[in-house]
Amino acid sequence: MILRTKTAPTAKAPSLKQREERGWLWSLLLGLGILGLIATIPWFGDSSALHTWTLILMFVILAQSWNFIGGFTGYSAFGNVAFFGIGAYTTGLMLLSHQPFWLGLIADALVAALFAFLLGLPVLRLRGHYFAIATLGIAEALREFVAVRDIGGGGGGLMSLPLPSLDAYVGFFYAFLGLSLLCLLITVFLTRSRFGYALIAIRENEQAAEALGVPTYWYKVGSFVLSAVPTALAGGLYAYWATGFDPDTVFNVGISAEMVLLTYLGGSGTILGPLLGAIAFEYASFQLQTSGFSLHNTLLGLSIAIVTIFLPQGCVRLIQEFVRKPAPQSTSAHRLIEGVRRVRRFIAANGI
Amino acid sequence: MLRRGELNKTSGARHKQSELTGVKGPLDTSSSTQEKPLLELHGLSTGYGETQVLWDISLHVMHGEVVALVGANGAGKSTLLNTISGLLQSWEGTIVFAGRDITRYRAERIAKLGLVQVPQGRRLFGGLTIEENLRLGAYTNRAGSARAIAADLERVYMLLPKLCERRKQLTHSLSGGEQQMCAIARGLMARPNLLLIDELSLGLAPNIVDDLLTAIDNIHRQEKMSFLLVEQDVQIALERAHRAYVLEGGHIVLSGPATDLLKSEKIRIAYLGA
Repeated sequence: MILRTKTAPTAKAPSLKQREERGWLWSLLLGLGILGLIATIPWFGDSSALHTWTLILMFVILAQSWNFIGGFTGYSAFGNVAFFGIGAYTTGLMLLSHQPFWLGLIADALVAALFAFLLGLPVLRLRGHYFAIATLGIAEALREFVAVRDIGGGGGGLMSLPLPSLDAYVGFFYAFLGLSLLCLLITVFLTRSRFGYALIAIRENEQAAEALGVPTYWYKVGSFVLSAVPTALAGGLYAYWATGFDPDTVFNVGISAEMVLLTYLGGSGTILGPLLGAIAFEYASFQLQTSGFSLHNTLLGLSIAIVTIFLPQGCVRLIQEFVRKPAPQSTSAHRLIEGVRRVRRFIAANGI
Repeated sequence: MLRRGELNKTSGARHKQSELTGVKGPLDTSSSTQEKPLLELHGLSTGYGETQVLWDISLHVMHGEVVALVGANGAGKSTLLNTISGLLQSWEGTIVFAGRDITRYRAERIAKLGLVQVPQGRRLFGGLTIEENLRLGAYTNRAGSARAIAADLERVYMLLPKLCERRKQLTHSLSGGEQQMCAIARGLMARPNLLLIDELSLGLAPNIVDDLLTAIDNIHRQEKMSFLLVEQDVQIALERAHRAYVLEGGHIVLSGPATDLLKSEKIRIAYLGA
């Protein structure tokens, strides 16, 4: 009797653990598979497909890196475009002073990290709406500053860079792809590590996290920097890729909003959410744009509203809800009923 | 319900655990007068913004002692606990824990020293499972290794078997009693020397409160852990504690052995209504 009660829980425990571990592994493999498929585009697609997918990958990176501060730590940064702009202008200035591109990117990452750190110190003392507004304001202030001081040197902040060679565009594509892969790996690390769990604890209840010994303030600053660096690198790559840009493009508040939207659409705080959300949304957006549909932006705006009302937990969580294994020995009728139940539960959980 | 049989079976194993935690406090509180207290507050005052809430609070908790802090709504009990655990800064006075002046320490550093708070209203990580909550409780890694944390987890599950049944359940879907259980268990996972529990009985049915207090009694007996219980329910608090302090309008108005306070005329009239 005693033996049986002792062995029962230990026999159960490993199986639970295994299933848990498989969850993140599947997400990682799926993410690698998707990126692997995208990697074949330069071989099969034409130059316009390459152009489109380069930009889609850029948005994937932006969403993935926003997920670090917005999804894991739960701080809705509404000014992350500032890092994108800083990255673009730092790299641009380095190129204009005849430095190699790679050095420009390194400088860009360092400047953005330092800026995020210094900015994080004051603004991460704020919470909720105050934090969102403060970050939004700083991004706007930077845009004005760059335009008024004409940092690009072309009038109103406009910057024109030397043209990269024609075959460099495949290189840009793979650079974006590599950066996105790196972000995917960081995301997986966050879902598995002590640091990542501490960030989630901050999101779920900051005071409790602090009381349990999580150095919340420094971890918030850390996740802010972590989110800034890939964003800035994407900005640097974009700068050379686009060769010409102005403050209104690279400090566009719309990009900030898009980072949030893409992450929420896919599922914030999940491994695959930002990746899937960005690919689905941006691909649809480009298709609509090229089809010449005049209400393109209206539709996109509407989709933001629809997502926040109907899918606040994102598509990945929706899928997760449905791929949960049914109870063993259930008949197909049971499964149908369970499926209907899950739909209703999901809808109820999302407040419709 | 707590299974006493199970607890007795494993008490030998847990004895080893308590040796590992290194609590060397005196077992008997009466002999502890020469010992230095585990926690000592001197002339503490604090408040929010302009409003002062606490005036000149002095109290102490000895090693292995259960001390109750009782008082009516708005007396400043939770404010005092939050000040001790570093979530709120004190204006004046000193807090000494295990021989160290922690008055200006940040909350996370205090938690690392083994002074852990179970906050009022539970404050669980709602989107995470019970087990994830408990593992986060061990965040400071005072246990020392992943294996020790796993052993602590087993021990906590044994103490509160209901949590083990629901270990994969998200905590926001738990009942009030289960949430409180989880909050206390999360506090235990930090391997505290002193556990501050804020309003254990709040919003719980009397039999659940009894279960939880029995669990705490067991932990206290087996681990020689110290407790500072903040309670609105004076009867419950005084029955379980060694000593108690009565807080009224931000001042400590009465203190002494719990049994004496329970008999005192003043307490009976003010709090017990008899």
